[in-house]
Amino acid sequence: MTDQHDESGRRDAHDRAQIDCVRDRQARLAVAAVRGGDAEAFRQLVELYQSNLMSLSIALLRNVTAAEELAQDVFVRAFRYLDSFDDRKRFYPWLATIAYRLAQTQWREQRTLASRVEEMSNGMNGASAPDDPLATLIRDEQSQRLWKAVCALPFGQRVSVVLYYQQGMSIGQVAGVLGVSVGTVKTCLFRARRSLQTMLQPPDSPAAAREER
Amino acid sequence: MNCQEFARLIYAEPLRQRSSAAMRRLNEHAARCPSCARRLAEAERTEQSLAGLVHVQPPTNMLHNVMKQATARKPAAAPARRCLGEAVGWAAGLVGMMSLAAAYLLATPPASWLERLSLKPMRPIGSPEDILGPLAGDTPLIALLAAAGALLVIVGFAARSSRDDRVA
Repeated sequence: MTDQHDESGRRDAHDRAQIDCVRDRQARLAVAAVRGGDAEAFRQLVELYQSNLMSLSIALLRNVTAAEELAQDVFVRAFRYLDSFDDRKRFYPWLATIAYRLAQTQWREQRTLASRVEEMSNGMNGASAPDDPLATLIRDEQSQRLWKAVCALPFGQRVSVVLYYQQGMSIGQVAGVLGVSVGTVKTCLFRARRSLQTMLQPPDSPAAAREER
Repeated sequence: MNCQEFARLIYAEPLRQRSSAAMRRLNEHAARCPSCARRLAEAERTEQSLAGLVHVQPPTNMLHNVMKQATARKPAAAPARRCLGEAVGWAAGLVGMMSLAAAYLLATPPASWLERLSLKPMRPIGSPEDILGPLAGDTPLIALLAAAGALLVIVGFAARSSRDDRVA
């Protein structure tokens, strides 16, 4: 079974690397065109990366409306500061770094605001529960379950999981986006895998019982 | 390898990073222990399902909104600004070098030039004072040209390197 997994895993990684390579080439051309004064060429960059960025934004904020705003804001900022992008590097990690930093700022602001609201209402209502982005955006039940499990992880773990597993970044690139060491990302992924395995087990399975013990 | 070590190894590295040696050790133990074999299969299934995590589709109007906001804020000003900064750097450097060259020629001129420019020769050519003379105040014009030239070369170089830093 593990050999089969190995083989299909290698095939997936190979396919993904090829897709990434084509995308990178398209992105490089689009960046050069925008820098040359063709603002409309930015459309292609948005089309290439909007799904990735939307997924990352949801992992970052766990709120559909906020994630949409964040993704838009990231693209607008990327357009404004395209001048500072080093075109020897890949475009998406740069975009993800902007998203991460903006999300951190928003998160800090929201936390301050939430604590003020809580103080004002003497903690009677508490903070509003995060909305469920998955029911509206993902129809497949299995995928919904997986996304819910990922969103239930702590901040660093869920962002690492999305960047590493879903978006195919290397551990070094994830560390670059988050501004942490490679070891920290490895620890985050280690903890995330362990938690996810428990969360994704059916409650009556022997593995779940084993984890509980 | 015992079952505890096996459990630690399963989670230690993601599947993509796991070395073939580690994989072999895991498989060897799993072949002997059905419970660990199940655990390994579950761990691999979890990782593979994570790799297949579907993308959340963005709203249909995102592209339109982004393009509207982006082009409204900055109609491709970046290339123009970058070119301007670069041009200023080059121009300053060029003018600076010309000033330095002019200062040198004025400090050590052929006799015919002096007549044309109505300037007084400083000292016989070839002595150390030829170089130090302008700075000693013999010819303020030359000293001024040399200083301005050096300054402009520095400004030009700084403008170019600050642009390079920004790009890097």
